[in-house]
Amino acid sequence: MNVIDRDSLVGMVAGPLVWGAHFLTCYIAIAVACAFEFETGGPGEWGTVKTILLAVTGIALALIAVLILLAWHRWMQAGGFEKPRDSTQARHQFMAVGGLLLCFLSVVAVIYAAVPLFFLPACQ
Amino acid sequence: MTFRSARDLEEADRRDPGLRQLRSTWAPPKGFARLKEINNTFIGMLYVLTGIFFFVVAGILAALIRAQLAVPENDLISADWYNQIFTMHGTTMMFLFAVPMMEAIAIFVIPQLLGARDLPFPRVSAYGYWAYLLGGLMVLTSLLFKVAPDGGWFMYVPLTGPEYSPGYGPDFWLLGIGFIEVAAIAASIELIIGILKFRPPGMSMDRMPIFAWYMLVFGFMILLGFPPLVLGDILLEVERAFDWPFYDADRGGDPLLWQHLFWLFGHPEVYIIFLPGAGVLSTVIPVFARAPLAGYVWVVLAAVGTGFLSFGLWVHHMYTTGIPVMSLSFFSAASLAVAIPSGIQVFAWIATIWSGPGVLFRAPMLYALGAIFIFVAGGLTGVMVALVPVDFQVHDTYFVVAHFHYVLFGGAVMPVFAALHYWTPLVTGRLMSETLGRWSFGLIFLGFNVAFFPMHLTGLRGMPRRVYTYPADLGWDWLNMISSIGAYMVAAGVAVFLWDWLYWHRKHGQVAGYNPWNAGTLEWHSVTPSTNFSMRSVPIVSSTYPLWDEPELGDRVDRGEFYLPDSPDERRKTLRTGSVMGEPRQVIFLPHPAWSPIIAAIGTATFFGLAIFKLWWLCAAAALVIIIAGIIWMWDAEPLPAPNRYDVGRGETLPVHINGADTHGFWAMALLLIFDAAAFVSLIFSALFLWTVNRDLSPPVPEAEPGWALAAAGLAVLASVFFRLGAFANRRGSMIGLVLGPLAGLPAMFASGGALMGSLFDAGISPTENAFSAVYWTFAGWTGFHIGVGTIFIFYTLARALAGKVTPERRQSVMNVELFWHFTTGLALVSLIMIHLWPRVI
Repeated sequence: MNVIDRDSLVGMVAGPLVWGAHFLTCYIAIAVACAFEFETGGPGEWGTVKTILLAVTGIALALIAVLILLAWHRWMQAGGFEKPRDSTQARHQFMAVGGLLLCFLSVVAVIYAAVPLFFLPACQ
Repeated sequence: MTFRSARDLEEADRRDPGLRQLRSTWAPPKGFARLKEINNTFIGMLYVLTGIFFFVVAGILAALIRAQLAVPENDLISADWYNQIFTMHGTTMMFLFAVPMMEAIAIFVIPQLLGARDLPFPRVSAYGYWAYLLGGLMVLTSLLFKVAPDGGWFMYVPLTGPEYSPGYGPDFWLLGIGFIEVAAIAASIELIIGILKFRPPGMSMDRMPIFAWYMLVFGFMILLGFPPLVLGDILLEVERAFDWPFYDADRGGDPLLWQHLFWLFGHPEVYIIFLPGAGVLSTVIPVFARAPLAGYVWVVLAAVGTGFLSFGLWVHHMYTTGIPVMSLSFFSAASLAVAIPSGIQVFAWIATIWSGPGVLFRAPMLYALGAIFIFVAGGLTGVMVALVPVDFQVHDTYFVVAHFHYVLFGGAVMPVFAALHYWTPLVTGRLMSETLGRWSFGLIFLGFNVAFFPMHLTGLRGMPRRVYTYPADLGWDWLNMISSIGAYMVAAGVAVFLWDWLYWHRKHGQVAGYNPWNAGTLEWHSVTPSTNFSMRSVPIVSSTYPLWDEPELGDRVDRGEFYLPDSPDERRKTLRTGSVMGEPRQVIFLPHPAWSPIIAAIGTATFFGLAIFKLWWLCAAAALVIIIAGIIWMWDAEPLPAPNRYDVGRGETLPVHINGADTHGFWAMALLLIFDAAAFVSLIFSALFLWTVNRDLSPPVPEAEPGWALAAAGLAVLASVFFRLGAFANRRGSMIGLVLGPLAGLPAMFASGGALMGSLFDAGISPTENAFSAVYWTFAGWTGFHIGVGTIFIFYTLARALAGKVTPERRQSVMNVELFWHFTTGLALVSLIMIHLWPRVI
């Protein structure tokens, strides 16, 4: 199955999958770092783990941005807001918009998860 | 000529041989043999009845709780009894009512919504149902003997561990509920494949009834959400029965591991219950608002998005357990993010109501509107408790009790009542009473708010959960009294509902006839009660609301203009279509009524029941019954008629038997293995978790001869290669190769499992020593269990081959077994890595 195929269900949920990967990475990184007292930085300064997690957040957002572009492209190909002429076009519009909206939700969820990195000490 | 009354149907039956054939093919067996019936309408109906039975039992327990708490220092119920009662109230509501009830409604209604004759695996549904009924009764029996579990519905260790709960209570819970999870897996696989592959032609993903979208997400959530609990259950039962110390802090275990595993399941569980409820609302509201659902794609986004985000919330049940505050914040963030899709949904419902010409306030709609009100109120307190500092304050108080009752009552109970009012005519052919419906709604809605709103205040005033009584004059007295009055109002409302549902409307209700609600979806295309085969012919669909957009569709379906309009061979069958586009691909010959599912279920129930009392030899006998019933069950799999084409009508023929990764059988095996893999990943998570929490104990390095581990790995791979060669030989038509491949693979796999255990013996690692060694042995046991099951599969395949049931054209069961076999090899390899490599690396 081609994941970026227009009719792929996996392609449709790619955004939330990126969120899931980002979320798990953050959770595991902090859990391991705090358990073994890796250098995590005190309040107000940046520690290694925090820096890594910010980078991971950047990568996750970049990935979702690519997915958004892909979905956007597929949506435009399917005529965008235009009223669909046939069932194939209607389906392509649906799959593209569905993927797009899920990507937007994932962007918000990834940013939410990254916010505490700026404000909180890692292990307390 | 849609059948507008039962008389039309009988008249048509006389003139129309196709309809007559369908009716006789799908007629259930008579008398006692009716229990053999596996058709989704019959099983769905029993399922719903059983779900309501457990709901009433749990409701009675709730009434006892409220009676005890009505006044301070009450001595109606002793502390010990009270613990059992509140534990069983939660357990019954969550495991025996909420999840199964949603499965029940879906099993009954999904095939009719999708124009399918039945679900893909009717015997699996039947097995699941009987397992659920017997397991549920087994768990409830413990109450009669006053040995019910009493550690709360989430069974926290160490309270439920061997030291503090030496009795049978937790075993009833662990084995009984563990058993019922079988029914949940069965239903989830059934629904996923049913929704993806058994839709009518033309129903592409963007035209699916919205309820089907919700149930699709529901299915996947069960598939990934239940495994952590299954694993947690197994670990706790093994700790209780054999003293393997997974949760014992003295030997490197950790009670928090249970909390993680439980809530890894428990939080998705909340949405597993809520999403079908939301699906009902998204179905009912458009009908009574007389307008299509506003923002279909947005609602799909909400369902899918909620499904994903719900897996990132589990730690918000554990804010006060001392996890680093940064980690808590991630979960707080996800808990706030999940409010977005939930909110979108609510706005879509409001927009639907807004866009219509006016709302018809019939009973299902009243319940739907009540559900929105209650759910939104619960959602708002949900956003409050998602915030870590607020939760610190209200944790384990009645505020939380109020919050989750609002969410669950609004998200699941009210929608279930809406669904029952809405869909009951499909079963009884009569509408439920509007007057009684208004009374029951009024009593339940008002009573619920009277009961649970004050609990917010009782909680803020500091009343803790799970106390069997409280002293007077703490400011809790009158609040509790009001809550109890409200609870009895709810009970009265439920009584009114039951009277109408079970008796009154069947005798005196208005005859529902054709499409009584003027709904747009396929289950209403003809006269009620609906037939066992759902549709006279399987239609071609061109919109989300086919009955609204093509008013003559029902006529054409009933005239038999579409696919499969007759059944001259008297075999039950349905269409399989493409997952995304819904084009016809195959005719599926469905099984006919049989005893094997119910016998297998009784065997399984006996197995789990005897395991509670540690009667292992009798357990083995029960396992044998399951295996024999299973083999009889599977023996007629893969029907291959000659020629392999079936005339589906409209001048088209479709294959009956095909092989490959696209078949529903292969998908079922793959989904089952995803479930299995998720449980195995939970075991890996457990190992890693124990490693992060143990400061002075690190995973012991098994100091064994490296030869053991290498031999185990090599032999496992070799077994897979042998099996591959056997399957390959079969494709080339070589019977000898087919027999020799698995026969050579089997000893290799046994030797591999033996070497894996040998490496642990050689290193002198005993499972009771510490938590890590227990985990190692669990890895080995997990692999060993799969080798055992794989062996049964191999002999089953060989028997089929000897009976001439495996040929190059008929190789699907070999493919399925092969998939399982490779999976087992994968388990062996990962287990070896976790036992021998991981402790050396860290």
